[in-house]
Formats: sequence, structure tokens, C-alpha cells
Amino acid sequence: MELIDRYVYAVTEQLPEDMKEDVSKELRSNIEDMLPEDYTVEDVKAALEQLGNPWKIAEEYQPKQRYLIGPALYSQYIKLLKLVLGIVMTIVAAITAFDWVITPPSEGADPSSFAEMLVEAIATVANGGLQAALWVTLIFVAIERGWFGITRTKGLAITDDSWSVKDLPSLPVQSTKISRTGTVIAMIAALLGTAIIYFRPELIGFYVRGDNGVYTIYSLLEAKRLQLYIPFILVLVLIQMILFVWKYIVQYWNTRLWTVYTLASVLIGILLIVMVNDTALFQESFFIEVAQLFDASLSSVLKQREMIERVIVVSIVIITLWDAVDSYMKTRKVKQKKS
Amino acid sequence: MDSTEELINSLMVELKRGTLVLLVLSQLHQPEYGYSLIQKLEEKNAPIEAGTLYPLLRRLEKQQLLKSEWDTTESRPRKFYMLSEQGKEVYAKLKSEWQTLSQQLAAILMEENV
Repeated sequence: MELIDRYVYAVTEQLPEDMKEDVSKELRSNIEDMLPEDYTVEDVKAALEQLGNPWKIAEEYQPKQRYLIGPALYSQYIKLLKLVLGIVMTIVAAITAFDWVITPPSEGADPSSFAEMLVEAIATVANGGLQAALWVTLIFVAIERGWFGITRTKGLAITDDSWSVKDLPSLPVQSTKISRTGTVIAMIAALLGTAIIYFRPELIGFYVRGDNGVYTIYSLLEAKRLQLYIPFILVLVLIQMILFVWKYIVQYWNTRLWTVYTLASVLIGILLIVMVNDTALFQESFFIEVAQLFDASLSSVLKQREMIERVIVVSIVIITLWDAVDSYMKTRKVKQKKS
Repeated sequence: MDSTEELINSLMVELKRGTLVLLVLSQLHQPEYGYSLIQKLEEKNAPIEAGTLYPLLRRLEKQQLLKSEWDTTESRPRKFYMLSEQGKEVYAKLKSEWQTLSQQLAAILMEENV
């Protein structure tokens, strides 16, 4: 009977493969049970109508979570989405605008090329916004699914459903609370840095203004060599983004957050040290220009450069260690407060 | 007046929904299949909608309160459900909870009548 087939199909269409067949078989046998022997089309119609809306039944059968971001996280999602979108689009717009200042469209140029540039700039900004929205959404979906070990309930720092009075957050104390302003500033800095390295690495360098008012940039970084590092940088930035969102939501340190945070900063530290020590990453012309500018010999500039390298490496190690210890102390403080 | 009626209806649905699991578990000391359970409950004046019952049986099976078996000996294959050991335990506990609850509620509602 085609009507029965269609009804069963409507119910089971969206169900996961592993239960589809069994549900179909059972539903069919149940429907046939409702029918008298030698039934007519009218009987089938009556039985199916009695059984009710097949999509409603399908929903009852559906074992999967049927939302991406639930009500507990929704308002924070919207808030962070706006925040990150604002930051990213501003940064991309700023870099594009900066680009124009450095290399202005030549005077008397075809107005249509100006329009083209404007369209391109808008497209770049929109694209940056879309990327940001996508990643923030994915991070929230992951949090919603418990991939970061925090529950969907308001007490996001509690890892299981059992809560006691001691889990209640202590009233805001600046020393243990993760500053939201700090988190946002760090996010802006990280995104700005990445955007420059990703879109316009040649902008890092020093600028000499020529007689005609146009700047010449002596870039520090070798763009080709930099390509090698881009994937690592992007992965680390993504981890940073996850940490930003996580910190923003949880607001207090916990052991798991601290572990991931410290691991990420150690990785960033290692990457930076490797990059600083990679001589092929830096353009020789930059140092030649510096030598000329300060009336020094190239060899003395390169010697200075080695010094600076060492200072940078030592600072990276100290900052990373200090940050890890500092956040660890805060994590412990939060724990002590609770017990 | 219509909205009061609607409100009562939706509250009734909620009230009944809470007792549904208990009702279904109570009838599954011996194996039943979907339609036989519907008829059984209808006879006992506790009708349940088929569209609600079938998915519910499956959910209870997934929660391991019920075990199931396909019977293919008859002309039409049927899936039979029955209480599992865990299901029996849960049912006993739920039953006593319900009895306490309904007694308490009855006593409270009686007070009002005086």
C-alpha cells in the first residue's frame, strides 16, 4: 500500500541510518495491526490520520541534539559574535586604509580604478567578517557539545551536574577574575598581528619618505620564507581564539583552561624563537638600509642584530614562564576559595 | 473562555506526560508489541496516542529499561517489548514514589474541601 510506504518514509527520512530500518519495520507492523483484514484505502487513511502528524512522530524518534547553540550559551554567543566581528572588520579595514595612505592611488588615475579598489576593499572587509563569524560559531558549537569539558549550564566551570554551594562564584575579586578588558585587548593584538603578517607582511619594516611624498618601505620579513610559518601561525591563532572565547565565558581560571593556555603559550614561544633564529626569514636589504641610516657598517649592525635576537629569546622564555606561573597561582587561588 | 480551555488542555497534557513512563512500564511485565499495548491501555481507560507510544518504547529500550525481541513466527513480524531487570527495579521505585506523591497531593487537595 503506497500510502503506508509514504507515511513510513515521512517518519524515518531524517533518522540516523542505524535505526531507520528497524523503526520502519516496527512502524509498518504497528500500522498494519491497526487495520482490519481486507482493508480498503479508506481504512488506511483513517488509521494514518489517527496515528497523527508523521513529522511530529519523527521528532519524537530523533535521538540527536537538534540545535547548534543552546539557550545557555546563546546570549554570550551573540555578544562575542558582535565583538569579534567588530574587531576583525575594523582591523581589516584599518590595514586596507593604511595601504592607501602608503601607496595612494596615483593622481589623475582613472576614477573607475578607484571604484574598483573601493569594491575590493569592501569585499576584503566582508570576507574577514565572514571568516570571523564562521570560527566564532564553530568554537561555540564545540563548547555546546562539551568538547572543552564545560557544561551547558550557567556554571560553565563546573564539569559535572553535581554542584554544591561552594561552587557558587565568589563575588568579583580582581585578583582571580580573568579581566574581560584584558582578554579583548589581547584578542585585538593577536588578530591585528596575524592580519598584518597574513595579508601585508611587507608593511613591517621602516618607512622612508621620498621627496615626492611617497613612502618607500624597507621590509623586515622575507615573504617567501614567511609562507613556511603561516600554517603554524594560523593554527596557533585559532587556538588563541578558542582560549579567548573560553576565558571570556568562564571568567575564572580552572585547571583545564590553565593547561591548554600554558601549552598554547609554550608553543607560541617556541615558534617565535624558531622564527627569530631563522636568518633566511629576514631581508638583507633591511639591515643594509639600517646600516646606511645610522652610518654604521653592515657587520656592526649584524652583530647588534645577534644581540637583539638573544634579548628577544630570553624575554620570550621569561614572559612565557612568568605568564604560566602567574596564571597557575590564580588557578590555585580560585580553587582555594571554593574549598 | 477559549484561552482558558487551551491552557487547561496544555496543562493536562503536561500532567499526563509525567505519568506516561510509569503507565507504560506497569504494563510490560509480560511482552507486548506496540499495537497490543495501545489496546490494552485503551481497555483500561488510559488511552495513549500511538505517535507518542512508539517512540517512547524505543527511548525506554535505549535507556535499558526495556528489552525487545522480534517475533517472526507469525504472518507479520512484531517487535515485542518487556521490562529488563533494571526496568523492574526502576519501575518498583517509581511506583512507590508515585504512591507517596499522590497520597500527599490527595491530602493537600482534601484540606481545601473542608
